[in-house]
Amino acid sequence: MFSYPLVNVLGACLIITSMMVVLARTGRASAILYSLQSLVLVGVLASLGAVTGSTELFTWSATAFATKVVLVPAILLFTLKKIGDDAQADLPPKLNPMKSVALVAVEVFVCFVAVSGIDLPTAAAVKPTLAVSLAHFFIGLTCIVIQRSIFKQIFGYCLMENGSHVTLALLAPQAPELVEIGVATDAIFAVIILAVLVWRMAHYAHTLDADDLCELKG
Amino acid sequence: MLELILLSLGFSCVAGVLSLVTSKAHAASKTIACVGGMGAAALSFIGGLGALFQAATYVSWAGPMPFTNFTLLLNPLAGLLIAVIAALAFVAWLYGLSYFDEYYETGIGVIGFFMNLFIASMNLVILADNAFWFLVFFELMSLTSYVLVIIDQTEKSLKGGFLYLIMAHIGFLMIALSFFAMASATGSLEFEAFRTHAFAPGIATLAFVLAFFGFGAKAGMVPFHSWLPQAHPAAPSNVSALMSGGMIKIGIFGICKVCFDLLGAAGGEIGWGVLVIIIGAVSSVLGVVYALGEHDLKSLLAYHSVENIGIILLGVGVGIYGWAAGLPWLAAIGLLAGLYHLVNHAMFKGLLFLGAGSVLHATGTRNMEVLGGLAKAMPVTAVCFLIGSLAISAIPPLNGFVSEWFTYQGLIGAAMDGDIFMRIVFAFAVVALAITGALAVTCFVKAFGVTFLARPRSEAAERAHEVPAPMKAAMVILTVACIALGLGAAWVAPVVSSIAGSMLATAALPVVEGVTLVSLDTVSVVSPLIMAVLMAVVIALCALARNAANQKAGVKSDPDTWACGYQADLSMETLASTVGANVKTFMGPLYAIRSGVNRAGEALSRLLGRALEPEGEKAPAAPAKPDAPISRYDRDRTVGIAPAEQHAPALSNSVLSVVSDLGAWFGRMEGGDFRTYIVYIVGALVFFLALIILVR
Amino acid sequence: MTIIIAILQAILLVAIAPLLSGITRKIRAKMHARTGTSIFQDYYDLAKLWKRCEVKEGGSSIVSRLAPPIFLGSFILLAAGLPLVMQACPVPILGDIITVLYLMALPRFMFALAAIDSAGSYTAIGGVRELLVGVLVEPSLILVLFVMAVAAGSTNVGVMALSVANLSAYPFVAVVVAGVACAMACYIEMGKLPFDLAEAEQEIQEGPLAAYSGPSLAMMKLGVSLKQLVVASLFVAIFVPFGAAATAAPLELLIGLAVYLGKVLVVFLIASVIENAVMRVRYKFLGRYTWFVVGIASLSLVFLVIGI
Repeated sequence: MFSYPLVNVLGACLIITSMMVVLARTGRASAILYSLQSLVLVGVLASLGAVTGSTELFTWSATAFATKVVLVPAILLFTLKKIGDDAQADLPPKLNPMKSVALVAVEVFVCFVAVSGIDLPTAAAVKPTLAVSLAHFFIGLTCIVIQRSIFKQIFGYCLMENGSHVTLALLAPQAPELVEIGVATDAIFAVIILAVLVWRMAHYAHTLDADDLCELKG
Repeated sequence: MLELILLSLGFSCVAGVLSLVTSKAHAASKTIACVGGMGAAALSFIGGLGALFQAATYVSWAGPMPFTNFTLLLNPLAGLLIAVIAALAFVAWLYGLSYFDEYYETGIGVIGFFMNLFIASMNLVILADNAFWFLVFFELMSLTSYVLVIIDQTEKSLKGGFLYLIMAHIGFLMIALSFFAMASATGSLEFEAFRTHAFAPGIATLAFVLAFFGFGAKAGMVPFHSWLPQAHPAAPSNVSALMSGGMIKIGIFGICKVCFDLLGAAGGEIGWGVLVIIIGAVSSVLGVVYALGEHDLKSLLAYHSVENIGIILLGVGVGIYGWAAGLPWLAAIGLLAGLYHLVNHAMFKGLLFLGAGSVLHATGTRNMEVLGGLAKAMPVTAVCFLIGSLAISAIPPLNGFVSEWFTYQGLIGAAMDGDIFMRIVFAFAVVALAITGALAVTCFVKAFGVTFLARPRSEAAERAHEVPAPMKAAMVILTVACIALGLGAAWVAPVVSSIAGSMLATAALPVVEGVTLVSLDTVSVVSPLIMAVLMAVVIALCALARNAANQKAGVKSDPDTWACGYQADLSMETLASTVGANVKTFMGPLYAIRSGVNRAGEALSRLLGRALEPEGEKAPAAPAKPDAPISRYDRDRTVGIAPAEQHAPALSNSVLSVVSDLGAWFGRMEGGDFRTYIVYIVGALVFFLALIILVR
Repeated sequence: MTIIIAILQAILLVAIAPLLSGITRKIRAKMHARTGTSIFQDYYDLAKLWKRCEVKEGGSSIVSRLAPPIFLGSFILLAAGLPLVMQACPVPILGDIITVLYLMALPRFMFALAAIDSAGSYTAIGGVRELLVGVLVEPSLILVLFVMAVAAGSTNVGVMALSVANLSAYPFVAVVVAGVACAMACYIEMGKLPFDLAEAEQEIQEGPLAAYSGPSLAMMKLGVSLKQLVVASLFVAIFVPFGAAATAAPLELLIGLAVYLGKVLVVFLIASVIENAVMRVRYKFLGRYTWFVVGIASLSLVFLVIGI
């Protein structure tokens, strides 16, 4: 049952869920969709572990479950609650949905072209997933660039993190657990710091709109 | 067969000269030109058809200088083109028997002479097998058609003619450069020498690209399409039919000849096919989008020629791609699709132009906004125009559908075997073709509906009458041809397939089983004949049932339409601008491209003009006022063109304005928004990574 | 044998189309907390209209008389050709996707032409909008069918259905995403709110249908319901072919028939619920939604090209 096509299918689901995170309207929906996306990520790591037979990847998927699926969305939902109505997390993004989807599709395609020249230690069959994880870096950047609310931009950052994690898992499946602990800690602390910054900005400037903040209006 | 064609050329020349000589006696001149032209056309039609089933004929007479050997080659492709042009010429001359009555004052002798010469030069271009004579006859073709375009001597037709002349010569220059590139590699101007010489890849690509754009300018593809909607409407309608149905096909003929025939020895590049496909896709979409903005009937049809040339190029592009990639069945089906659409387009575009000419003859105007209700006064014209509209919109079971079906099968079949880039290209082409089809339906519902249906919106439309018998006969002939090419596709397709096979020097692709057309590669079948029978049966059953119910309950006719509580009046009818405005809502960016390019062009020409004039001159006079509209429904609304500015800057001011524009542009780039900077950083990163990979 | 199946299929679809539109209307009524009319009301309406005297506009031409039979006839022909009860096409020459798409363009052409023929302004606006629906939905539909054709190896609907039923269509996720995009595109083509551009009752008073009366109106209403059923059946035939008969054995055909009726009923239920839960959208903003569907279809193209 566990085999390379499953990894690829989960990789595709990763794209779909990230797209939903980018397109989500409210902050709450973004957080829940991000949690769902991390769940798919855990699935990718677990199936990759089953395929390559490395126990480290199973540990990774467990820690990723604890940090990404549970902890990070919880932190962000808590921040959202503390900010209250000021959150303005449902400001519309700069690109309409169709262009965002088209942009995501183009990024996935370009990343696929880019990775076609790389030899994976795992297998050639999971190359589409490598393209997907590389594309996540760019999807995260897309999210940061097109969102107007800085609360939503945190999700872009988290998507970039997810992308780099899956890339790491694909290129170095036998890496020791210490690496994973370091990476997870970095993710958690970065999110905490970002959340605190967002809360302070909301408190003092009373706006989370990036356009206004760039001109120091409040 | 070649003798028949040469005989018909002689006929044309004699008829032309005679009609010029007798130009004072109008009726005699017209009859001599038309009857002589019809005879010549009949002869070359038989000759062309005969050439389809024979091996190639090659003759050569020595000329005064070594490069001026008069060489002619009649192969199946040439035979197809000659037959198509002959058919259109025959119909155009038949139409002219009544239509040219209006042109007595403008010089019927001149028209007869130049039109005969035009047709003769087209035939000679197709037959010529020596680069020198090819260019000579190409130039002759352009010059004779130029005279025909400006025959009305109005401001618009002179402008259109001039633009046409410039574009024709740009094309001529590029074709000449291409031939000279090939000649320099072989040392001779004979096509036979090109055929047998295996060119180096660089020279071959250079020659192909030059020839493609040169012949493409003649064919009217994007970006060389701007002359079509200005030149074709200015010519007399049957000449427009001949130009649009015949002359622009010579562009396609040239591309095929250069690619498969002259450069064939070395094999082609996949890049050529991709270039042709992309330009074909863009041409087809832009052509139909711009057609939707027109309310002059003939300009609309001219833009549709741009669209259909795009569709033909899609088929030819698939053929080139298949040939270069070593997939002979793909090349065969692509060429089959392109050539079949070439024939179909000649038929239905000729029919539509003749219909537009009939409307012009009957009402005196081509402006759709003030027409309407012509179907009652001109029933034969209306039915022919309707069938032409259905054919060009690719509605089954007519001929347009058959050739577009083959084009789709070629594109999808190519995608099944292609690699990732090619799949994206073919997907783009398929989507472009589908959008074109949907927009063409919109455009022709508009063209036919606004012109022929509802009620007349002006006096001119109310006074309309049916056209005389020769014009009707001409339109009916082409209508029957459209229907026959559609229903009889099972008999026409193998012939076209064998022509494609002869071009590729392979056996013909089997595309027919019984009365169905098959595409073996995509496991798919279609049968226009059976579909027509089924459609007729089912629709007749429904209509009979409805009429039976009507017999029982009765049918009344109510002149007062209920318009939701209002009294219906003429201002409620649909105009061409209604449809255009609706489409512009969704396709705005495409019109903005054209108006942007126009504004830039006008600014540039004003800049140059102003720079060459001394300071202190007045600004140029405002453009002449248009004639008073014939009816209050004539709102001159062409979509998307901005009015010219009144005051142009002088040379020094223009330098300053350029600098300030650059400054403003840089100011926009550094907006102060951190997100744009992120995009710049990532872009630079990706660029350098790509550079490293490529250099490695 | 398959010819008989095709004819029976066409008759069946014509027979149940009014029932399905009646069910749709009943669901709308229930969601609006009304009782609503009976689900057989459309049959009563058609019967009543059939017996009425017909009034045609004084200035209209023969196009208005021809439009209703052509509209209904084209959709009957399409209904005969789709692989609904069997997995293979009963009439292969009607089963090519290009044929299906362009055969759907004919009724649209005549419908809009007849609308322009009328003197009322709402009628004409409805006709023009009907053309625009075609323009907006063609790109996504052709892209989806392109992906399916390359995945299944043929442009014939029956072969596509067979490849999905056997799970042999190669890039699997691409087919699923294409199915999602096709569902959305078919929803738009069916003319459900907010895409009922042609007959927007709230805006243009039933649009082009206002020009017809008596038996012609009955034919047009039947045609419109049949069009919705045919478009929904197209989606069901290609992407949900599970349960259709693999051979022509009578028992399998009966099972296939029952499964097909169930599938199409579910599709209509879901469409009705969505239709009554969304709001009206201003006409010029509809392009955003249709381009969104094109975006999803292009995502499925990317998945196809990548090979996921």
